[in-house]
Amino acid sequence: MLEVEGLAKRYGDVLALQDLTVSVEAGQCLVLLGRNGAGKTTALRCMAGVLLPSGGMVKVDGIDAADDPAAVRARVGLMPEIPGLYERMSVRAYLDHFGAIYDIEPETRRSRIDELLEVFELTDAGDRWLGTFSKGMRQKVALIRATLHRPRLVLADEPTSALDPDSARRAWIYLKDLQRKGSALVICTHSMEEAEHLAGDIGIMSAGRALAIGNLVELRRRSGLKMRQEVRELPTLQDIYLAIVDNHRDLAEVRTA
Amino acid sequence: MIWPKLERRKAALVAVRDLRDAVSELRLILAMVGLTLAIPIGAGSGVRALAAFGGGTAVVDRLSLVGAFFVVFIPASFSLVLALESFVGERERTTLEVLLSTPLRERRSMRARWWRCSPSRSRSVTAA
Repeated sequence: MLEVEGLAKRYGDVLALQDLTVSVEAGQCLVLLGRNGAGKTTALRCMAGVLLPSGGMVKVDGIDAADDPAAVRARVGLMPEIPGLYERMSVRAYLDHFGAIYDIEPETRRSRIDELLEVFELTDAGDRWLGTFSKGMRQKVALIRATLHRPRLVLADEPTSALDPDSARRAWIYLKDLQRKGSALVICTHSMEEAEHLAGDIGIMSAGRALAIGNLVELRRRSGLKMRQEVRELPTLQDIYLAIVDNHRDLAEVRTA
Repeated sequence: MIWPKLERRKAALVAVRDLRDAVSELRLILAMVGLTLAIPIGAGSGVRALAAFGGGTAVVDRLSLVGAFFVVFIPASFSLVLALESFVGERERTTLEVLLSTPLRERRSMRARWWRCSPSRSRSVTAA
């Protein structure tokens, strides 16, 4: 699905990305972890065909991004870290606009938009201008936009950084569902929980290089860390929060009714 | 050829959205309409007053030319404003990355903007 070989990107004297080689199969998820400025976002932009790499190769579905970038972009859904929405458009109009750019038939895109607004609990806000949306709502819209055309490859940069734990969990379920339907995922995140939840493979990046790529077991072995002695049996704050929200979901529904 | 036709349609989508966005900004429209009316009317009135109160023919002729220049320049400069808003504004609002990630070819996207910024095209899109 996604093949990246020796990918590099230079901004003037700064080598933002060097010699990145990864591959992600259909239905798999690669999570990129790393400090700020490690090159994760640059890697994602090069994979999406938004940035022209200084070196290396990106292939999506066997199509080389250098040969036919438009064909690659048609197969990719990019969710940037900053949602970048048109403030003076309603959610429905915005999604419909991008659906048309991706050549989705009007009937199909209407039904998909309705379905996804429902999934992300945005149905009631469907006719509101995006400029009035909260940060989390914007992030949900960006995720819907990036996946509206059912891309073969989803590239998401910190997809849940602005979401509350409940909405983040919904987003993870949604992304997992896309995986099950055969999409490949590449996700940049700072959330270890998100990484553990979604990742098949994890890439740890630093200073534009991939330090290690592999699944959790392989990375654990490579890290040389020993088995932790203590066993945490108490639920975490995240568990408690989600349980309480789940128990009182009926109240939330009354409020929106 | 289906593909170029499809590309043109997508470019038109971008152009129309851009234009709608620009015309939905009331302050921008008021400034454009205000300047379009105020400057030529002011220049015309000034020239007429000068002629009525005994200004020399050479001065009146020269001022008429300057007035005529403004009549043409002010509406034409709106294209510049729209172009700036379109290219720079899109980048500032960080919406450009999203647009560049779509299958729309860069050349089409740029052409859509020029098309939208052309005054005659702008009028036809607004009418549509």
